[in-house]
Amino acid sequence: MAVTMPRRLPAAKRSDSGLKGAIASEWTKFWSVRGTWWTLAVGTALLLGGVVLAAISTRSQHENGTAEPFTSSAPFVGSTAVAFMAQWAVAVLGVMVITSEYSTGTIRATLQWVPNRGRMLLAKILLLVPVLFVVGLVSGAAAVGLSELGLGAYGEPYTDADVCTTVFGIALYLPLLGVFALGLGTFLRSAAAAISVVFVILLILPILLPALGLDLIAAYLPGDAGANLMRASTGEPYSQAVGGLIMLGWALASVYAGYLALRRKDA
Amino acid sequence: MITLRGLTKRYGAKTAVDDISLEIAPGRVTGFLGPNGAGKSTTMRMILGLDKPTSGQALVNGKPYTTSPHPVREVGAILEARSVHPGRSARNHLLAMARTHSIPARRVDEVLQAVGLSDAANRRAASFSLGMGQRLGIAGALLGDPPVLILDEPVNGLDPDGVRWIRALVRTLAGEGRTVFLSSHLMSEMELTADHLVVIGKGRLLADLPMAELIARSSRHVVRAQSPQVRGLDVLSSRLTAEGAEVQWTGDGEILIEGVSVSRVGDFAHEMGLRLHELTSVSASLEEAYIELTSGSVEFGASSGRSQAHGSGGEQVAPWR
Repeated sequence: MAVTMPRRLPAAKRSDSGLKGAIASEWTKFWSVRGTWWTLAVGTALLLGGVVLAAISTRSQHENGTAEPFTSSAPFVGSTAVAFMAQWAVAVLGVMVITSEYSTGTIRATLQWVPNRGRMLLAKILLLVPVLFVVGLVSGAAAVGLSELGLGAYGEPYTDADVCTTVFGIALYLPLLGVFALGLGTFLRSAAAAISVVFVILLILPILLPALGLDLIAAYLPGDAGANLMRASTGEPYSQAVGGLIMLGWALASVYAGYLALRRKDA
Repeated sequence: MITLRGLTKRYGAKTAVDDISLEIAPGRVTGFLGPNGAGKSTTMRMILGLDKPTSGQALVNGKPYTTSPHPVREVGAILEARSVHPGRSARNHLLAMARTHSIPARRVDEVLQAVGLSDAANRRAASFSLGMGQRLGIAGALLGDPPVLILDEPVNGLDPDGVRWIRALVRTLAGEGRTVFLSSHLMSEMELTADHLVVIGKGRLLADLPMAELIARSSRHVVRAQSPQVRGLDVLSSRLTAEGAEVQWTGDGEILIEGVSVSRVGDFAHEMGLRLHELTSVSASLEEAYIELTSGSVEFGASSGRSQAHGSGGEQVAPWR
């Protein structure tokens, strides 16, 4: 039986593989499954829904006379919409980038192509960060613009600098959140487990801890740090920049835990 | 070239792979045999750096796979477990693989064509049959034009044409001087494909030798004699029994003799003036040689048919064909 063999390839060069190739591969994988598109569509829907809810809530506060000037401005309303709603799609995306590989067995292929665990994880980070930075810029700008529309006459004035810091805050927060979720997904290997943990850390603990008198701890969790970074809070007890650094710390810690699990456990 | 040095994998108290040392040489097909649960897949996964050995080393061309500067150009592999995202097309899967090593996209189309998947290139992998999935695996193994191939049960799910194709492909790859390490539970297929065999049982290395030698080493050497002179054949069988051979009638005018050489049977027949229509040395099949080798190390099997036949004394069914 004659076999048609593909032609021989020229000898491999050292520059042929490495981090660049690993990132290109992650890019191809990311955009070639429907899950990515679904998650981004859901994120868009959550953003729109969040803006509508936040605008309605602000309008009713105005009618009750409880609104504060800062919390009635379009940048603030937009960033709360991201913080309450759209960020969940980003967390799911970050988790799924690795856990879908475990659930489908693709991880075995990925680690054959890029057996260096650190390089594989770094490639996923370097895919997520720019993608989510752009997502953050677009959705941040959209959130502020839509809030402006939603608030109408109830909107308080704000400066261009407010818009800039808010949009850039969102554009920095979403990649950090995505990487935080990726680290947890790498550590836990299961989408359900990782998303649950993200949910608990981001939503449950900030409610639970103050009830136990542990407000200060709650303030340093990713939820509050992110709210400060996106200027979706009034800036207590630390500034936007500190919020960004705390968030960076969470992302790095989570990725490091994931990296250790990758190194120690069998694929 | 694949080198295993004291390769060991333990899961808690259970030893899956137990101190295996061997070399798998290029230019030939090395078959990897062992009962289910013997540690074949674990061994292959350790060679690919997916599982970490508890101790020992698995080296590909002298270094661990995980430290290879361009692993896809070094080893092509298919694993038994599925490793393709069901929602991704065959082409995108291979494209993602190619991108890791700057392999041009046209190479993806070339390997898809070589395995006969060109028409299904843009279909989601979820819609693939087992056989098509296996062909996609082969396409991936060939993508990097690697000198080493590790194939875990490559003929699983393939139709007879596909099985013949794999056999020819594997022979061609070895003929080009590549190292081919192939596991299969189909003995007849292995007998046709492999030059050299590595047999493990309960994680231990049982044999590492050429196919012909393993079969020759089997104790089952049988001579078949046929004669139209049934009474003469009966006399011959008495003489052979007196020589210490075991004789068994397998038909009217046909006996199987175990324990003497074919030339001795021929000499006796000649002395007696017995007319023979057939005098053949029947060598054991790989399956028989293999079962003999692993009968002590079957992990989950019930006692095999062979050992029961031995126990029932003179009425045993011929274990040879």
